[in-house]
Amino acid sequence: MQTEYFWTPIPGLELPEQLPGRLIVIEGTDGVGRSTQMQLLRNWLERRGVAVHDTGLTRGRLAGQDIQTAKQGHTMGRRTQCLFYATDFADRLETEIVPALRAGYVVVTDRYIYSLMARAAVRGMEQEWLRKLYGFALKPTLTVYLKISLSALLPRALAAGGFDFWESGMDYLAEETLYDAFMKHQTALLAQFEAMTQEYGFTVVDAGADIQHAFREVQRHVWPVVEDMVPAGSGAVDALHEPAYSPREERHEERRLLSDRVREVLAALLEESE
Amino acid sequence: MQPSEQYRGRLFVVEGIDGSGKSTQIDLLYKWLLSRGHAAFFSEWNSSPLVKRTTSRGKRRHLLQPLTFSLTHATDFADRTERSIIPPLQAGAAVLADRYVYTAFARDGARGCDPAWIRELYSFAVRPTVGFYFRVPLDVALDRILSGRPELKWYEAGMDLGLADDVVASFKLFQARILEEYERIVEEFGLTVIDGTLPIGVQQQQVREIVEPYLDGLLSRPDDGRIYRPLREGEA
Repeated sequence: MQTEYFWTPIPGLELPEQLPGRLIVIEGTDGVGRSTQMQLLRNWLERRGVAVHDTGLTRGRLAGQDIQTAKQGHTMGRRTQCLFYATDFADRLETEIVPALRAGYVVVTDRYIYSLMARAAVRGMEQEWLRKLYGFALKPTLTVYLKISLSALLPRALAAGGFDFWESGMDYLAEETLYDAFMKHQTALLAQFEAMTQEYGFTVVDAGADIQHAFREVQRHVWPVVEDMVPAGSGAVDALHEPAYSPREERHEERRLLSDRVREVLAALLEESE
Repeated sequence: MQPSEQYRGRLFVVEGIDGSGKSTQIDLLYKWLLSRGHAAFFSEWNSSPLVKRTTSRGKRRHLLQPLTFSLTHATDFADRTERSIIPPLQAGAAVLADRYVYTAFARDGARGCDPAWIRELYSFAVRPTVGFYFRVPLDVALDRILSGRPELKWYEAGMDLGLADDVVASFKLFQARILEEYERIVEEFGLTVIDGTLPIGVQQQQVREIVEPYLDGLLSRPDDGRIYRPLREGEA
């Protein structure tokens, strides 16, 4: 991939013009099914012989832990919170994403600067400031935006255990109930993503339908980006059409690694192909 | 930066390289303001308890790169701004800051960060009523620091930049870079320069004269006979 920053390079880091890896971003609001798609994608790519490194927000070694602690206490101001996330992101970019890209991995990340900017923007941070702040981020090879309507999101949020304090924006909204806050917050977030779709050239995937359908779409968009990385003799031509299942003898191992939901989809795909 | 005129309070900040004598001066200014009956509020660099854990973890384990070094300090500064700078200014206090955004501009600049990016990063800061810069020649500052405190910390000495293998040698080179950055910043932001080689009392006299015209209308300190001690977290 081309080494390209949104605005300004990371200080003190010399990168070649071309990086051997690829950076694939999975974006979308809370509960849209990002982690399911991440797992499916990783599984599929690794079956094709492509080395995958997956990562996500607030898992950094520098500030990740403290962000979680601070969230428990709800003691952070909005700008402080925003910069805390930016710090963690910068650390992850420099110490995890960039080294993996240099080593030729396909880095798949569960959210990127877009979610961080959307969350900060709905909390009153200036768009212009956010774009400058995150100007050190690398431009991804592909950004898949899992798009969903609020009405399709609502039952998923309920089924997943109800409304979360942060995912309902209760830290900044003055709504009486979690439901009211959830609706308002998610409406605002979806509007932010919508606005960014054009600006950043998101590849939109309809995540409102079932998981299999969405994954087929994800595969279709990811394939051209990684095609040249697939080892020779892997049957590239029909790779896209081959379901993401594993041989029977390996399935026991697979079961331990994958979530119920992913296993369900894999089983369905397998059935479909037989 | 954001205009300070929207607040009833006043913001006075001191800047300068290590050993410039700025902390001594702002300490004296703080006590003088209190003795004159004003509400004064002290705010220090690296003072946010919230961000402290991250900053010290990063520093202890040498996890910080120029970008993350810059961002942890910006996070700390945001917490300071939201917690101990804007609210006291709204209340009408004299807020005193030992080191401010200019420290970040100078240090991060010396670490190779893009000056335009750093200035954007800190654009939410309140512009000080008066920003003092304590100017001392490099050898005077180095002598003040090195004669009294031989234990230099990794980042303080700029060891992360690989300027020299020896800590003291690295510290000297790093301070020289910072000094250069400061001189540019003084011009750019019109800081008020105080000659840091003058006797302490003479400097303080100058500082008071400059501050005095801005003290009308400030909130008064409590007049209940109790002794209020300022809460101060670790030194910069």
